Amino acid sequence: MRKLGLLTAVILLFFTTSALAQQRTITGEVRDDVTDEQISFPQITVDGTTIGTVGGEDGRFTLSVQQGAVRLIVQRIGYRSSIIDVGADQQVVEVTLTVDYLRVEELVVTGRATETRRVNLANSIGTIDGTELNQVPQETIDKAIAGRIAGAVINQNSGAPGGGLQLNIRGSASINAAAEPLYVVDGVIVSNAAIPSNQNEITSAAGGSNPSLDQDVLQNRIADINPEDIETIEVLKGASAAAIYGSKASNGVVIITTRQGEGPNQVRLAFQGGAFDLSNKLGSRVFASPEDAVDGFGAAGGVLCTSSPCQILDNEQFLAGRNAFSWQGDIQVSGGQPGSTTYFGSGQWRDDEGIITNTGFERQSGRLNVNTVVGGVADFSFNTNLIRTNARRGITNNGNNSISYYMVFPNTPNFIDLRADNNGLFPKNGAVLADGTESNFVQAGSNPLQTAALVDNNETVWRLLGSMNMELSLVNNDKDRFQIIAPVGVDFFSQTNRIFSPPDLFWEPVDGLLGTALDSNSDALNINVGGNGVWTHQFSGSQLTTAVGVQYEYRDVQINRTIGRNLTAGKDKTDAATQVSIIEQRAKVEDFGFYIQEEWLGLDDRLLLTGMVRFDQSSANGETTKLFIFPKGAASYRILEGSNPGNFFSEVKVRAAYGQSGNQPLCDVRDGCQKFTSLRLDANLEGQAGTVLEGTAGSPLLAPERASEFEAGIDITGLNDRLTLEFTGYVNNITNIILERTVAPSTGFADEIANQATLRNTGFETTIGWTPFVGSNFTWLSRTVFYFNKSEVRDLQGLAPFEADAGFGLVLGGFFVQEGESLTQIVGTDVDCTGNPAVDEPVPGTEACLVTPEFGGTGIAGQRKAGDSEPTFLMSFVNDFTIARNLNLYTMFEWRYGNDIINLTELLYDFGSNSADWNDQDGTIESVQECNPNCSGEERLPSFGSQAYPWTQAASFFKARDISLTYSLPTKWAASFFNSQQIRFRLSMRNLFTITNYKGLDPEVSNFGNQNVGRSIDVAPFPPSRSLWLGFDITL
Amino acid sequence: MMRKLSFLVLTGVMFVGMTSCQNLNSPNFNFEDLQNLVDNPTPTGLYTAAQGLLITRRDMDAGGPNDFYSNAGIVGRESYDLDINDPRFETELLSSQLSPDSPAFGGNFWSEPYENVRVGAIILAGIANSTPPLSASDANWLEGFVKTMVAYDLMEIALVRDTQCGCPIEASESPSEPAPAVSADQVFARVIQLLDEAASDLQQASGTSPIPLSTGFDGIAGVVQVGFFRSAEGFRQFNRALRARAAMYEQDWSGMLQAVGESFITDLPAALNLGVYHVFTSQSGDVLNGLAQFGNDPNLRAHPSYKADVELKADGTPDDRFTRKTRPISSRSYQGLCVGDPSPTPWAPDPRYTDDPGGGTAQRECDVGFDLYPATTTPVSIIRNEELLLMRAEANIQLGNLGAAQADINLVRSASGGLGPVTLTSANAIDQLLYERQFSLWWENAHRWKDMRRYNRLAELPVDKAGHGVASFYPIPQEETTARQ
Repeated sequence: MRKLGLLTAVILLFFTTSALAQQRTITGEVRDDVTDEQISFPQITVDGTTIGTVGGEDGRFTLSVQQGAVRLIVQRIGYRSSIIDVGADQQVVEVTLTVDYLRVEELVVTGRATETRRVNLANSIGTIDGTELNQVPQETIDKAIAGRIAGAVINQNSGAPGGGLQLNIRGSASINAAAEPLYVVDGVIVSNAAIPSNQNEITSAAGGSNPSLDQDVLQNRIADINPEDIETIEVLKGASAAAIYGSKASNGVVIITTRQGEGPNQVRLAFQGGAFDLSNKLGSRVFASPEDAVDGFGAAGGVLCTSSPCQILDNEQFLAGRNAFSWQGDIQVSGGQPGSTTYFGSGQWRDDEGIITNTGFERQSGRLNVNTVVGGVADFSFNTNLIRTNARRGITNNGNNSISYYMVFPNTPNFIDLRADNNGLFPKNGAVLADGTESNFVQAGSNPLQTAALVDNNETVWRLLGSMNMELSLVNNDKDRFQIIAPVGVDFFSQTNRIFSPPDLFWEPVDGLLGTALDSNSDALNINVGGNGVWTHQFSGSQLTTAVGVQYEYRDVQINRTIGRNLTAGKDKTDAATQVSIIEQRAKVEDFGFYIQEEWLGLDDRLLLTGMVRFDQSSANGETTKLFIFPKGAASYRILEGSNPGNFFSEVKVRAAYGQSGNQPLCDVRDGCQKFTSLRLDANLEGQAGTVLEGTAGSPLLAPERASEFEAGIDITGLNDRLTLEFTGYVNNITNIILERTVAPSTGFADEIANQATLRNTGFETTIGWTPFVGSNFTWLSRTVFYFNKSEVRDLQGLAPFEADAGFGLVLGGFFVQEGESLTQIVGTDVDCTGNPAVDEPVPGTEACLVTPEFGGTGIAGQRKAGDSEPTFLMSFVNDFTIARNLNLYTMFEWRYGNDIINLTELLYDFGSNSADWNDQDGTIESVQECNPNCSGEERLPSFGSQAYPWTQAASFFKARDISLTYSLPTKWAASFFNSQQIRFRLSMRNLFTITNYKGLDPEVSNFGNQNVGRSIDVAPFPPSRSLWLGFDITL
Repeated sequence: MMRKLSFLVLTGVMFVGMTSCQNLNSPNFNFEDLQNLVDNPTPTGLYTAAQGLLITRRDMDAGGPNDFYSNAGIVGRESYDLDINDPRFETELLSSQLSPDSPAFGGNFWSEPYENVRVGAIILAGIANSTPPLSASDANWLEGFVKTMVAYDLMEIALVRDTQCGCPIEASESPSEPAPAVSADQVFARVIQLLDEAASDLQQASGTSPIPLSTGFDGIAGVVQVGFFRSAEGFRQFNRALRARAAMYEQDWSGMLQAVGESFITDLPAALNLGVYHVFTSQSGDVLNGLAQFGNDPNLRAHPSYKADVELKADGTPDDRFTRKTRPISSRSYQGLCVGDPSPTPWAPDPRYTDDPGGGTAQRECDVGFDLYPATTTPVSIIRNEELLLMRAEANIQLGNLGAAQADINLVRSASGGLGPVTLTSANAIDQLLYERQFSLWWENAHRWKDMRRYNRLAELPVDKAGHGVASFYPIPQEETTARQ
C-alpha cells in the first residue's frame, strides 16, 4: 500500500502541475465486474503520458484531458487493469475491473528502491499476500510460507512451539556460510539470528561426538513478527534476482511489507481459539510375556511385567497428549486518504499451549504504521513494532545425560507407567528387584514425564522494529521524474533464556551438583541506513529508469550467560549456586555497499532490459577495505501482451536474467569471525589464566562466496486470463565456497578456513494458476506449484571428500561432501563395499558403494551412498472455493518426494531393543542386505557398525498444511450488528494429517537446526502436532 | 539538466563508496589473535600460553566422562559406560578395531596434544624475543616446562597408537602442510630428547616456577615441602618420573631404573600419592573433574571382572584398593551387558554387592561404582609415587633383581592393598606386577590397557559379548590420513 501512496503522490503532483493545460473533462465510475460494487481509489492515467488522477472512495473520478480521443488506463491494486478508449466527445465512462485472482498486475519490489510490474518481470519472484497468509492462524511467518512459493522449501526443525524453521530457497548454496535467506521488513534488513538457549548445560548434547550447540532446539527470530501485520511477502529466489542485495543475498531475499491503511477508518477485531494435538507417536516394542520383558529389559522387566502379554502404557501420550486451550486475539485499525495521511495500527495477543506440559508460545505485538504526504512531494512512512514473544520449549533433541524425552523413551519399556501418583510424585524409570536393590532402565531412573513437569525452559524476547522511509519527488514532469528515497531502520531485540532444573529431578544428582539455573541475556542490534536516487525518463515510447543507492548496515550481537549449579535451597537463582560460571560472547559486523542500476522499458512496454552493478564491502571479509562487485543483467520480452483478451493466450512473456550475489564469511557470535586464527581466553586452571589454541585456522584473505545464477523462463496467461503458467529454469554456480578445509590435526588445527570449492544448483519451477470458475455463486481458484533442485559439488580443488559438520560420524550415516555428487548426499559406513564393482551391488533402498579416486579407487574403508536429504521434487496444491460469496473453503497440501533422513531416534530404540518393529514378523531373521529397507529392529541392530544404511530412511510425505472454512455473514446481517461491514466465522486446521512412510516422528526435523548441509538428522525431536481453530472476525 | 543531476548523484555515490568506508571493523571480541603471541611475545603472554598446555592436557585426560582416562579405560575393561544416549560406548569402544572416522570413539586423543605441540613451538620461539626480556632463570624454567609438557603429550600420542604410529613430532609451518610422520620409536626418541633437554634446562633454573602452577604441584606436606613440584628441582624430578615411563615403554630397563632413581620416588608408606596432579575447581572458566561419580545410578561403573580378579586379604575381605576405590550402586543392564545373575547371592567377600561373580562377566550385575573421585574437585593423578615404586619393581624384575622388586611390590601390597607379602619368582613376577598395577593404578591414565598392550596380553582381557574384542590401538584419525594423501 505504500506503493500506492507513492504513486498517488506522484500522480497528484503531476495532475496539479498540468492543470493549466486542461481542455476537457471526463468523469467516470469504476466498479467490480462480478459484485458490481464500487472500487475505491482507482488510478486513471492517460496512455502514453503521465497525466492521471486517483478516484475517490466511491470509485468516481474526474480527469482533465486534451481534446480529441484518448485512451485511459484504469488500475487498482488487486484488479486487472483495463484500457478504455474514450471518444473525442465522450464525457462519461463506466469502467468495470476484474479481480486479479492470478495477480498478474501486481507491482513487485525488484530493487532497493524500484519496482516492476509482474508482467514485465525478468525473474520468477514469488509473492504471497497477507490474506492468503492468514487463512489459518500461523504462529510464525516462515511457517506460513510453507508450500506457497515455487523453489522455497520450509522445514520445521522440531515440533516445539514457536519458531525454528529453515527456509531454503533453490537448494543449499553454501556449506559453512549463512544458510538463511536475508529478511527485509519494510525496507530494513532484520535479524533472523538463532541464539541457543544453553540447554546444552543440562543435556550435554555437545559433550559427545559433535560439539555443536546448534542442538539446543534453536528458534530463529523471524518468528517474532506477527503474520497478521503482513501485506505481502515477496521472495527473490536467487542471485539473478537478488544481486542488488550484494554479498548477503545468495540464499535469496524475503521482502516483507507490512500493511498500510486507506479509506474510511476501520476497526477489525478477530478472535480464534483452538488447541494443539499430538499428531504422531513412535510406539515401542510389545512384550509377549514376563520372560520376553526380562529378555529385553533385564530383571527389572520381570518385576514390572506380570502378565502375558505385558500391559501397555502409552507414555508418549502421557507426555505429549495435552490439548490445552490456545487462542489468538487481534485488533487492527486502519484508515486514511491516499495522498495525505494513512495509518495502520495492530495489536495481537497469541497464546499457544503446547502438547507437552510446560510448553507453549506466546506473542504480544503492537504495530503502528503511518504514512503521510507533505506538500505533495515528500512522502514519509514510519513503521514501529514492539513485540514480546515467549517460548517454552521443554527439553528435546540430542543429549548425553538421559534427559531429553526421546533420548529416554528408547530405553523405557511400555509396560512401565511413568505417570505421577496421586501425590504428584513420579516413579523412577525402573523397578526394585526382589533382593531390594534398585534397577533402573536409564541412568538415575530419569522419567521424561517428571522432566517435562519440573524443568522450565523459557525464552523471552522483547523486540523493537522501527523504520522511517522518506521519499522526495524532486522533479516530476512529462518526461522526467526524480526521487530520493531514504530508508533508515533499527531492529533491536533482547532475548532472555531461563532454564531451571530443580534438585528434585531424578537425574540431577548425577553430576554431584543438585539443581541447575541457567540465565542468558542476549542483545542484538541491527541498524540500516540508506539513500537512493531514482530518475525515470520517458522518451519516444520508452522509459529509462536510473537508480543509484548507497547502504550502510551495522549488526551487533552480544550474549551473556550465567550458569549456576548446586542451588542453595533449590532456588532458581544463579547466585544461589555454589558453582557459577559465566560466558560472554559478542560479534559485530559493518557492511557498506552501493549500486547503480539502469532499466529500459520500451517497445510499447514489451521489452524490459535491466543492468546493475553492486559494490560491497564488509568487516566480515578478510580484506575489510576491498569492494566486491556483483553485476546483474536481465531481459524480458512480452511476445503477446494482454491487448487481445479473446485469444487463447492473452499474454506470453519470455525472460532471462543473469546475476551474481554473495554470502559473507560468518562473524558468528559464538565462534567469532571465520577470518581469525585465535587463542581461546575462556579457560583457566585453579584461577590461573591459560590460553588454548582454537582449532580452526582462519584466513586473512577470506572473501564472500559468489553465486552466479542464470535464470530463464516463460510466463503465459491464457483462457481469458483464467490460466497462468510460469516455467522457470535456473543454473546457479557458486564459487569461492567457504570450506572449513579439514587439515591434518597434527598441525594443531582441525581445519582451516578457505575459499575453496564450487557448487552448482540446477532446478526447475512451475507455477500453474487456474480459476476454473469465477462467478457470483461459485468461484474456484487453484494454484499448483512444482519444483525441484539438484545440487552438485563441482570442484573441491584438490580437497578430499569430507563429512559435513552436522553429524556424528559416517558409522551412523552422515552428510558427505564429495566432488561430482549431490551436496546433500547421505553416506554411511558399509563394510560390504570393497571397491569392486562386481561385488558392490546396491542394496534395496540405497545406491552404489562409493569409489573415489582420492582414496585409491577402493572406496573409503567401505562406504555407501544411502540417500539424499534433498527431495526429488516438491509439489503443493492450493485450492480456494467460494460458494455464494459467503462460504469459502481454502486448502493447501504439500507433497515432497524422494528425500531421506538419518533416523538416529530409531537407532536408539534399536539399541534399547525397544523399537515398535523390533520383533521380526516373517519368522526368519534376514541380513540387512536382504531385508532393507523393511527390516525389523532385530534384523537392523546386528548390522550397526558395519552398515549405516538401515537408519537412513525415505521421508517422502504428503501433508495437509492448511485447511480452512470461512463463512461471511451476508452484508445486510452484518450491518445489523453494530453496523459492521463484515462478520466472518472460521474453522481452520493446520497440519491436519501427514501421509508418509517415514518411521520417525516427523519427516521435517533437524537435530542441528538450520543447516546448509546436514539438516535431516533425527535425534529425539519434539513430537509434531496438528492444530484446530475456531474463530470469528468483525470489521467495523 | 536531469542528466547532469543524475551524473552528480552518481559521482556523489561513487565518492561516498570510495572514501567513507575505510574503517569497517569486526574486532575479535571472543578470542585473542594467535598472531599476537607470535609477533609480540611478552612474559605474561608466554606464561599464559604455557598454562594452556596443562589445561589442554587436563581437559583431554579427565575433563569429561568420555575423556582419555575413562575412554581408554573402557577399552582396557577397567570400566563400562552404560550410556544410553550414545550406544557406541557399549559397541564401538568394545570392538577389536576402533574407527578412525569416529570423532569420540577412535579418532580422538590426537588433535589436542598436537595443539600443545604447536603452541609449545610458538612459546619456545618467543622466549628469546620476549619484551620485556625474560631472566635467564625464567627462560630456562619456561623452556624446561614447555619441553616436558610437549614430551608428555607426544609420549601419550605414541603410546595409544600402533607401532607404525605415523605421528609427527614437530609443528608444521602452515596448517595445510603437516610435518613429516615418523614411527613410534622415533617419537619416543624425540620424547626422550625433549625430556633430557628439559631436565638440563631445569637444572639451570632456580626458584619457583614463573608459571603460576596449581596445587596439583604441591606435593604432600610432611613428605616434601609444600609446593615442591613448583620448584625447579621438584619439577625436574617430575620430569625424571616421566622419563622413567618413556624408558619403560622403550623397554630400556636400566635407563628406567636410573630415571626412577632421579625422580621423587620414596619408600615412605604414607607417600604413595606423592606426585603431580590435574586439579579442578568450580570457578568460572575452570572445569570440574569429569570422572567424579555421584548418585546410585551413574553410567560409569567398574568392569565386573574386577570382582573376580581381586585378591582377598587375610580376613577374607577384598584388597583395600578395591574397597577404597569403589562403592555399591544400583545395577542396570544395557546392550546385553551387565545383565545380572538371575538368582542373586551376595558376594561373600563384600556382601554390599549382591551379585556373585560366577559365569561369564556379561551375566554379572554391574553394581560396582567408582569412589576414586568422590568430589568434582578431587585431583586426578598424572604420575605418583605408587607407580614409581611399581616401575622400579618392573625394571628390577626385567633386570633379574627379583629381591629388590619383591620389596617394592610387597611395600605397595601392604601399604596400598592391606595384603600380605608375595614371593616373586621368574614365573610369577610379571603376572604379579600386572595385578598390582591393575589395582594400584585402576582408572588412572588407562594404565591397564597400556600394560596389557605392551605385554601382548590384550587377549587376556575379558570380552563379554560375541562380536566384541579389545582394540590394540587408537587409529590415526581419518582427517589426518586424508590430509596426508
